[in-house]
Amino acid sequence: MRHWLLTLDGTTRFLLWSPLLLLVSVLALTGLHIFVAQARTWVWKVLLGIAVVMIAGQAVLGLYWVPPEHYMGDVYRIIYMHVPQVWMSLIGMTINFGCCVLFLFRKSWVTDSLAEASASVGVYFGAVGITLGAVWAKPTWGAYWTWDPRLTTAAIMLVIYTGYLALRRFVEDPDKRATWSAVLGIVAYVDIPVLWFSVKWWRSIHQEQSSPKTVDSLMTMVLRWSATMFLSLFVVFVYHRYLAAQAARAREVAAPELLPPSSSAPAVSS
Amino acid sequence: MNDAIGHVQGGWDSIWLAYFLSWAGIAVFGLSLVPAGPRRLALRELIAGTMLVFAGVMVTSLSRVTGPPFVDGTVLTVVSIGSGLALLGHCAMQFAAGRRKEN
Repeated sequence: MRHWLLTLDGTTRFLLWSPLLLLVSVLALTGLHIFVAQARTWVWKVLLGIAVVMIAGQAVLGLYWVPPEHYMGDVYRIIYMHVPQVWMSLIGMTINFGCCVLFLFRKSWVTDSLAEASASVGVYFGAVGITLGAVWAKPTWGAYWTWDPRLTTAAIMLVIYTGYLALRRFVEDPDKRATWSAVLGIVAYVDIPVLWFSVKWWRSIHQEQSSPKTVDSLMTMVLRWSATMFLSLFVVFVYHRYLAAQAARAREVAAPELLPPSSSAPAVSS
Repeated sequence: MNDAIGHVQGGWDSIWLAYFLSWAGIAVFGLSLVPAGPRRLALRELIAGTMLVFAGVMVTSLSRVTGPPFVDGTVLTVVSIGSGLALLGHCAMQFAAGRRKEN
């Protein structure tokens, strides 16, 4: 039997692979952005350009080009906004967790600022993603919200990470703030694996994660397109939040009364 | 609304709302990253104007798809698109004035 990819015409094959190529490009640019200091000024602009072009393309693909789903009809098109934004939220929380662990081992304002930036962008994407889930739930489940395990753990995630950001606002001493928030960031991350596996562990109204094997290839392609678009935006947002956080840290640490009193204070590194 | 065997009917109002919320969220969150100043003010007008025009087009579109109560949204459509275009016009004038000052 011929592979299903070989039965498609050239244009469709190109369209199916283009999101993967774009994803690889975005990841490569992101790596360049992180590791090559001189590249930072132009890479984020390229990523923003990719995102803007992809937003326009996504509107056409998601709202018009891709066919309706058998049971949900057109309303399933919300998936192309809901799912990638929740993914970005989870990526943000995972980066935050990594930075919090790193901070406790090797104190640095870089990891502290990156932890703050990734959490704030993660909370933003999480809030929008969950809101879109509620908008989608109304026509399909008949209610905006149910206390299903997936929804409950998602709500807990938002509350905890909003608390994390609030803690960072309340504590004035940058050293204490960085340490306390790092501990909270590690504790908060316990919720994320529970959130991810909740649909497998408990039978609930929220469906399990789909696999590309069980979903129409065109739908998979548009979902990958949307994910790449949001990943580009995610990198741009985190980068700018990180710059703002670093500038705030530099101002705070430069103030003599806020300089860490002991040698155990985090060292400023760039 | 679902039919007898569970197929979801319509739902375009939810789809438009979801896409609109996402786009508006990206615009507003992105704007918060731009440093305060005349550029941010101009960008704010550009985004607000675009969103208002889009909201107007969305209301018109929903009027066609869903029928009442959106059919009575004509005034809302005109106000939304009108104010959006006015904001975009003002934004363009500001950009032009800034360009003249630079020259």
